[in-house]
Amino acid sequence: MKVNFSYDFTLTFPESVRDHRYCLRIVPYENAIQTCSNLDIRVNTNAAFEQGTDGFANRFVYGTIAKPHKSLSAHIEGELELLPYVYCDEEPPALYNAPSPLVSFCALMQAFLDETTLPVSAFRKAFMLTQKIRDSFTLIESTKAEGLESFLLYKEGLRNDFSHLLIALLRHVNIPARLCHGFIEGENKTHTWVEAWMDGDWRGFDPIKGIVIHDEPYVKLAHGRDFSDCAIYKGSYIGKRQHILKITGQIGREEQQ
Amino acid sequence: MILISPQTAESLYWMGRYIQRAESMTRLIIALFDKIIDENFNEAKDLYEKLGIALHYTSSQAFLRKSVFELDFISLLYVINTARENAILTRSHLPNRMFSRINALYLKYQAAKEEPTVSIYWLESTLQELDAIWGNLELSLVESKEAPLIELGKVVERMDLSIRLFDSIEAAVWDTEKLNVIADKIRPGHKKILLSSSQKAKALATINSVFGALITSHES
Amino acid sequence: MIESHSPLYDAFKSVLNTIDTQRVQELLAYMNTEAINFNLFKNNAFIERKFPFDIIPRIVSHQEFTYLEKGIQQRIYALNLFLEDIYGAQKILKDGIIPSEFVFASKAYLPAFANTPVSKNIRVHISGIDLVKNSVGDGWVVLEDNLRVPSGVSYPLSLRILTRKVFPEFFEKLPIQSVHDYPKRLEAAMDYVNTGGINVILTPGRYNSAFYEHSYLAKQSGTVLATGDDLFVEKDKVYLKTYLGKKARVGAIYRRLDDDALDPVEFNADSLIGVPNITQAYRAGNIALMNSIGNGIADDKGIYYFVPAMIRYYMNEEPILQNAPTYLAFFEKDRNHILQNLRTLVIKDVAEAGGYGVVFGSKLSKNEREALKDAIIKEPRRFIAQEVIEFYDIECLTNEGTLSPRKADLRMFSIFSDDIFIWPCGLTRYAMDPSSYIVNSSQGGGFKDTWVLKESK
Repeated sequence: MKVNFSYDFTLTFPESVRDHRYCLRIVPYENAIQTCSNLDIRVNTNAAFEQGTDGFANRFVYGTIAKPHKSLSAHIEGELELLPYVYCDEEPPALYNAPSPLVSFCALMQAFLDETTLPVSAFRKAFMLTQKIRDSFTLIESTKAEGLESFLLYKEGLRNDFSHLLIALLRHVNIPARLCHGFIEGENKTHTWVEAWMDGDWRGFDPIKGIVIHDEPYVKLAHGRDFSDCAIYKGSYIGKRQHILKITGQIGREEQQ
Repeated sequence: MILISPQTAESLYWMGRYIQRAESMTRLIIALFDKIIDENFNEAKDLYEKLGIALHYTSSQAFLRKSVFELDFISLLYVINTARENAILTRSHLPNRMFSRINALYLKYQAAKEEPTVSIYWLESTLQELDAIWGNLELSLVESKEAPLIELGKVVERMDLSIRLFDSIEAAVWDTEKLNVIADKIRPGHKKILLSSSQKAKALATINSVFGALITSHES
Repeated sequence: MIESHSPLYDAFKSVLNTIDTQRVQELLAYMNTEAINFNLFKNNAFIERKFPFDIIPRIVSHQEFTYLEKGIQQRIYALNLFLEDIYGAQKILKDGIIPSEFVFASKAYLPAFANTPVSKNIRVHISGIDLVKNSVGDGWVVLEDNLRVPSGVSYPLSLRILTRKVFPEFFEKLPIQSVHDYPKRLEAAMDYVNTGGINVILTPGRYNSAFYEHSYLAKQSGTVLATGDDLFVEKDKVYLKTYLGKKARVGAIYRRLDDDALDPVEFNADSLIGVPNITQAYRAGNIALMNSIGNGIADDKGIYYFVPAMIRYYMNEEPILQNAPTYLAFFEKDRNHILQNLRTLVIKDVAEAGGYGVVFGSKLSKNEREALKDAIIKEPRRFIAQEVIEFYDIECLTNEGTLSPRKADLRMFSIFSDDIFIWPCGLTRYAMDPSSYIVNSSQGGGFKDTWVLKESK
């Protein structure tokens, strides 16, 4: 399936900052099921930037905006060829079966698991947990109570909480799982979902929508053990430590020729 | 290429200034001590007032204790400590002996601070140490890129104190040629510095802005 | 216990007896004026502190040094291969030599830096291997590998230079191996991996405990000492700011900051001492960092257990140097042994550096023991236990002029460039307290020089 995409990343500062060094993980991932073409990247319309990749093969742009400024923006557009969501890569699945900075198992999670009997096969386990999470929790756009414990207690949380919970549960039953960050159809903001490794392949699960990802366009920007590995913006600057991130984007299926 | 960063350049410059300050103030304190004994008890008080400092003492010894060890920011102890701090920061750019001498002087001050009285004999001996430090600078750093920065500090401080303490812009003007020679070593082709004003405040401002004008701090 | 009657110490003492003690004062005065400091932070206050030292050196025979040299070379070579492997193909995990979860659950493993090639495939440019000599069996045992930012070279080096000036008799009468070339070898190692540009030593600054060492090595090796502020990344390369406004390309950095402080963009955003985006220049292959990013996984106290296995796996050789007998709570059999024998073991918390997380089972109260057992059961991966090694004391000269024994270890240093150079010296650290086994500098110990003797004719 071919899709075209276009998204904008904006970082705004209430007070002017300078000597700003940034790193943006906003370039679409390249793997067996997602390949890019006609990629056009702009930072601040015409600022110079460099490109790089990290150990997860997440691609990023980085650079410096030295003069005082109140915003940094980036625009990316291009085309992607997407294949059905099942693939393998060179990464060791065991990396995603261990506790990570933002994901570890806790007693509340055991209680959650105890509410049902899990099926035997890995795929069925993952699917059931995906749906159970969708059914048990409400997505909210902002919260004061952060973290998985609050999520489990109050039954509501952010996109990342859904995926982090699914990852924690999957790892607990020995299914390696990693977090993906990117765009989906119909939403003008980024989305997170989970890839779980079973029977030699990575498969996609969306605990917010409660589905196994198959043919739907899920455009991946980055993946990692949890969201700390995928953060879109990392930076350091001189000025008051306060910034607002906004990412808006569109993907559109291209007409079949 | 000269591999001295702006921060290192600044530390070398200030080290030069503080060593010069130590030397000038030591001579001054010895001279004032002499006057306070039985010629003019208020001489030190009047002079320190020019520096904006309210100084009270009941005897010559008390004056020594205050001026050498106790006054905030202006005691010889404070000045030597600051010189030494800058020497620690720039140690890898200094000849070993120069650093050792500065540190040895610092240690002497730490020890003398604990003595019940301030010995004028001891104070005079510290001048020898300071002379040795300058001597070392002349000998060992002849070709170095560090020396002009330290020398700049030395000359700027001397000019500054001439005006601040002795109201002598003339004395400062005599130093201007030397200042320009040093500045040229630091940044060849720089704009010549002139002390044209007869106004104390303007002259001080010019002198104290010389370093900033020669160094690129890389701020954008 | 002091090592039994050694002809080496006899030779030392016979020379010592011919020297008048006045000269010890001279040496002290020299050390003082050199401001050889190891600063401390205690209760949020900065304390500038001269590193206490003792004039009686540890003396190592040529034979003993050769043995240690071979053992450390082998160990460093294997550890370097391990790091290359663990950040690359991970064969040692695939072949089941080390359980994967041990590596992946460690905070020290940095997957964001997997598959980053490094200049000349060297990751452990400088190492400090901590050893003790067991009084039971006289064998040397490795207590710990330090592969991130090991410090300590400049202290024995400075003391050696001054001792030689004040007590030339020792150096005239005993065949003591010269050690002055360390800084030049450091420079050569930097040149070896340099990707184009000058060499820099990156220091956290004046208030860091080992600042003396940073400035000493910079001076002696002819490299520029810089703080994070003095450097910047432009495009994908690193530069030094110069006061004339020109930028000087930097090709190799001997960095004396931990990974976490190195880059506020990639790592800890609160770090004010790093260089923003330096990790991107590193990923691009445009800067050599000594030591490489991510080495913490190899000196992780849990991975220590597997070092002999690494030597066998990568090099097909038997380890020359032994680990201290170690038990990993992670393995059930070891865990049971630990829980049953807590009283005779020393328990180490995997995450702690500087000796704070080291607990002697024999010193705990019953309640403390039970609490520790619970912690071990709850988080087995965190704990490693070792048999307490009764290591030898060395005599120290007390203030009263008498000799008194203190536990002492030995940190030996290596420089990896086109070969692995083991410095014929070392930082011998002794405990201040006669009954203490803890010799770390940050806990208040002192240091001695280490004299390695040349081959006797």
